[in-house]
Amino acid sequence: MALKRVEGSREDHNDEASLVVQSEKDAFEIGVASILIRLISRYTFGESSSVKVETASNILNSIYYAIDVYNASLSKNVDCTVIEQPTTTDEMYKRGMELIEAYVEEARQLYTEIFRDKLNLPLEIYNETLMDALPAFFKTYDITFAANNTLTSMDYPLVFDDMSKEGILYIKQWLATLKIETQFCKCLEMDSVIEFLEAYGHKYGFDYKNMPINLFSVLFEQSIFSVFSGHNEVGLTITTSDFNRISFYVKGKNQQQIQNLIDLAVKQIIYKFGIINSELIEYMNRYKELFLVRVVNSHSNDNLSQMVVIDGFDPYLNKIIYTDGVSMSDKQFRNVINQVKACDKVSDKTRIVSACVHSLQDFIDLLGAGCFFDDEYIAVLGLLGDSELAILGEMVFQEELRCGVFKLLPERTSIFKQNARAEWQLNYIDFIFDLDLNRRKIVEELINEITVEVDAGKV
Amino acid sequence: MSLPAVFHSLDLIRTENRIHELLLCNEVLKKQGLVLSFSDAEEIMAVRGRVLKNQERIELDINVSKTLLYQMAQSSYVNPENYVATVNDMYGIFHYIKNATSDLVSDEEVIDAIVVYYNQVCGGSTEFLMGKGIEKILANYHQGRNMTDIINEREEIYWRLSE
Repeated sequence: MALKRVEGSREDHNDEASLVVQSEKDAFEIGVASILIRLISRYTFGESSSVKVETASNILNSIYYAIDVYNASLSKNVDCTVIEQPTTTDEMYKRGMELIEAYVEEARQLYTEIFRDKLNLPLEIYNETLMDALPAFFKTYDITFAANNTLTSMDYPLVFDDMSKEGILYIKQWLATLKIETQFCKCLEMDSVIEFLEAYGHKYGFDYKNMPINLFSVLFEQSIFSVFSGHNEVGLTITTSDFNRISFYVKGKNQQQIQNLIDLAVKQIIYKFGIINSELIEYMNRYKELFLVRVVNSHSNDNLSQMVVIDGFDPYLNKIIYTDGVSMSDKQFRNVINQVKACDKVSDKTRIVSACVHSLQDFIDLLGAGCFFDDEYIAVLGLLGDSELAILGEMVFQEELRCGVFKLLPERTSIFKQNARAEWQLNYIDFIFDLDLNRRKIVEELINEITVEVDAGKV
Repeated sequence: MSLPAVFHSLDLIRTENRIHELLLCNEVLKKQGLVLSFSDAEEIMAVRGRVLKNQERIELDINVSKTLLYQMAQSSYVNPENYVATVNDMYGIFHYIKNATSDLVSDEEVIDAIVVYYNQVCGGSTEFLMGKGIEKILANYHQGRNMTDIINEREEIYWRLSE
């Protein structure tokens, strides 16, 4: 009996507690709803008593964002002296809005500093982000009705970018991270950075000026390799003999040993550059983990040279350069498409292709023009010789070729297909793996030897 | 928490008050020989809920419903038999136009337009107003004219020809 009474009182207590929780929840909901009503009236300048649900939802998300910002600030200040805490939803919202205003001001300050110390480099994406995207954000950021929005085209990639954040919290962390990355880049001579970027672009076959390169990661990695090579000064120039020393230095080391080498190199970089900013040091140490995995992988695949930009190394040396022939005019091309589309028999289609198409670009455009179906691709690809197939392979296996020596391994078919960007590329992959082994080997060798010089944007 | 949840908590408290608020309109309506019963008020509230749900809109008060009750009571095309149904149709038309224009267009402007078109163009037919009437009102809005403007079609053709 006694036990039952105790249980009964606990149940009563639980009921009471859940009632309290429910009434708090109700009060919160009613509080949010009245803020929402107030803001909707403000949004319509009191002229309209209704809005689309979508508009109201956006405003509601903005309200929750402000309350979340306030709550997040409480959890940060948990060890601080007790400050009087707001009791109503409205008060929480007001405090959140005050914080957002303060964060916008902080972000503006941060932006001004970053802009003042901007790297003088011809990197389009970096410059556009700093000169256009961020000012546009500050100009359009609406703290009342869309505080959670981050509508901006900041395309410059950072190594550690916390995309889970929204609104001004995202921009603030983005700017703080860029500031840290920039501090490292500033340790290097800008002339040598430009020289390095040119070599980097040449190595990977693109124009570095309009590629979304993260400057910190490429410069930091090259600096570590520069320490590995035994240079007294940390720099970006690594010669072939330096690289041979790096290979020797890393040779036969296990993961732990490579990690120790990286730790040592980073300490040396910090010392040589006189870095004392703890945030930057922490950032470099954080990046080491990512770098280690890549070095270990490259090392085990005997492919370390892919990670290092070697001075004077010409990636096109000993390669066959293919230069494309003259393309048809748009009118001629349209005629060929119409002729091919009008054919019922695949043999007629291949006859037209053989007679009219004399440039690789035209051939690829035709493959992508919806003129062929299923087995017809196989028939058209069957018109090509080994070299032509290899040239198409350069396009299809672009990603894999960046990673060094390329192999046509049947077990990688599904990965190749995942990277395919067009229907003809999928059919090409099937076609290549249907070739007899000897011919496939010949095409594979040619793919590794040929370099195609066509307008990459058209492919 | 979703938007409907926030408003649901308020609506539960407010529905009864709103019916009472609508019934207070009878003070004015009786001068026009019209009376709103409790079930009429309930029906207006039910239709309001359906329209807002279908048109995916949120409304903060019932001023639009009240204004339509007063405005339609003055129409020569309205009688006690078709009064509530007409008000309900006009309410649906109001929110359709709101969705097709902007949240920032004032309630007054839209109400004026639909009432003018109902009385002066559509001959008291909400069906006609729902078709051609809405089309004309929206054309006024998109061409930067006053939404209540009535442009005679013949006149329109004349001006187009002289251009």
